[in-house]
Amino acid sequence: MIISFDSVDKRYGDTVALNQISLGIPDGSITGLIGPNGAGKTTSMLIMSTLLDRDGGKVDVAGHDPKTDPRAVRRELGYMPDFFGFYENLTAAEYLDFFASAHGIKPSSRPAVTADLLALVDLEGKANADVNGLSRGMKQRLSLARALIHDPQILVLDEPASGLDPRARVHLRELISELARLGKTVIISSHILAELEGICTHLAIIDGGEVRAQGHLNEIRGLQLAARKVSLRLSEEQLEAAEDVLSGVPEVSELSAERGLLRMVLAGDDEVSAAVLARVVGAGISVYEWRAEAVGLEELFLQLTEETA
Amino acid sequence: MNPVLAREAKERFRSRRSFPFLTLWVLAVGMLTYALYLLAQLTARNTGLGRLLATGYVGRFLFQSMVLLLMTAVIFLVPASAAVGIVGERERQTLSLLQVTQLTPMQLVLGKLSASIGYLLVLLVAALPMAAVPLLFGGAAFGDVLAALGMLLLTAVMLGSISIWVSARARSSRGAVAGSLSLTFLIAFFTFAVMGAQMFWQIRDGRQWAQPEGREVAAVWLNPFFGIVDAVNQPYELRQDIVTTTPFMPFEIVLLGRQGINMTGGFIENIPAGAVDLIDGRQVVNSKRLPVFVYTVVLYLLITGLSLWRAARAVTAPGGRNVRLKRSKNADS
Repeated sequence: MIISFDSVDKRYGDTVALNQISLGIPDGSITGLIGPNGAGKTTSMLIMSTLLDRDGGKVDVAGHDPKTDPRAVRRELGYMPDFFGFYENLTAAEYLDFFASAHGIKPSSRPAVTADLLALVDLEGKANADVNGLSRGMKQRLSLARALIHDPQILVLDEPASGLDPRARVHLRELISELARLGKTVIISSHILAELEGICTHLAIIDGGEVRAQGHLNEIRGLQLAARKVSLRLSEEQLEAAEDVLSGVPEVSELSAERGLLRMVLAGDDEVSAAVLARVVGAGISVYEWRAEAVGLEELFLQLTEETA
Repeated sequence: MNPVLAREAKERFRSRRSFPFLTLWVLAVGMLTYALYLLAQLTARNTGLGRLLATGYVGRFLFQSMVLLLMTAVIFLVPASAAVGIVGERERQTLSLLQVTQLTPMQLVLGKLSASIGYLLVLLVAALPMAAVPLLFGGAAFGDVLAALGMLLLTAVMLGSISIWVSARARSSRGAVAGSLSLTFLIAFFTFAVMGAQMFWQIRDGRQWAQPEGREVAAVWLNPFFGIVDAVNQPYELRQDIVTTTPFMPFEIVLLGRQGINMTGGFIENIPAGAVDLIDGRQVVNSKRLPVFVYTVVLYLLITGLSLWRAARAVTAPGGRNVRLKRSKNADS
């Protein structure tokens, strides 16, 4: 794990922001932090970025503790907050050059670094444009370039797509995927769950200052979900027989047969699915197709956080 | 070069207000110099000085006026400029972006301080042609000019440091400017009131202002006007033969009084035994106490160091005040 939280606590007065949170971000992953407002996503990001102190627990970022060795963490991590933060009377190139100098990059290297990053975020044509004159999407990409200026191995992006139009969102998603291909570990939070679904390899669902679920996207989908929709394509003649076979299975509910399809809601993990399929096949029924409908992130999120809702 | 200073310089000199303000400043200083020149000439004529003495007097009058005016400019301009430094970063949401770079909190604070002092230096350089006029009249020595510049710079650094500290703690630019100016006025002007109260107390106790040992008025140590007058006047030479109604005179009365030398109506009235040495025919005050400007320099250096240290602590992440404020107002978590 390139980032790990071990029983981390954080309070704001009487409000518990993080409650004994334990979190692991695998190296090279794109990990999405999902959670409602007040869940603890931004607090977690601020702690790993050295901008906020924890009250208890251990945090490790690329082998360094943000509390005791913040400068080392800042070398390894680029942070992009959910706001822009721009200066007046500076061009895009000068803006990046300033942050390059703040990161201690040599003056001789800065023009090349700045030009490369502007090209990466598709802003090379805007190098001499006033930062304040850029569109929101361009500013967001420039922010991303700023977070990358010192070539960190970890990128922490807090709500990077908020307020962007659909085209700019697609552009940003492509950019983040490209960064992952370049070997960066990306941690990204968003309220637009569909945004994360397309690009994340890993997820951490945070709610009420606690981690509800974390792991690879497929692992999370395979967790004990309250319900997953499954449909079987069979011959019309065998539909009734299959219905009879499954009607007594406790994990199966909402059975319905229609035009060669047997639909049901299946509770349980992949092992349960396999057992149900074996039972149908064992009854001599030919199964042409077994389709488990993919659980969307929104549905998954709602299921995992419904206890606290 | 400090990255913050480099960026601030770019930002400041590209702003629309920068050059009109500089032009207005030069015009104002030029007009003021001319007005002071006319006033000095008028005074010299009315007091019936000979031509040679009058020329020196005009030079001295101009120089002393310029010194006090520039000190007043420092008192008003530096806090107003420095106070928005850190809080401005917080308001435009760039402070946390700087905190995650390799800049140390002290680099950030020093960058902000040098940027505000740097602008003042530009204003001083722009005013140099006018400030050099007194030298033509022979009213001030080159050493006096250096002493004045040194004290102006030290005062600017001290007031700038206080303002940066206030800025690091403030929630808004308006609050930072108000807080900085309040503290500045306490140092620059309230010390006059404290000094007056001290003197009144001494007179009420039945003690003469000018005792053989004089009376120490500690409030003057902190006052920038007394500091600069004392620094420029070192070594203190008594001139009884010429009119002394110069801009420095009110300060000189107090500064000489603490050495036991009484001055009334511009003339020396009482010189205790041993208070003055004759050096090359000149009456030079034999200081029994450390000169006031030494106290001023030490105090200002201490205030500067303390303010910068506190400011650096206030902008240190993690646990920075800015983050706490942001989280409490805009709580995602």
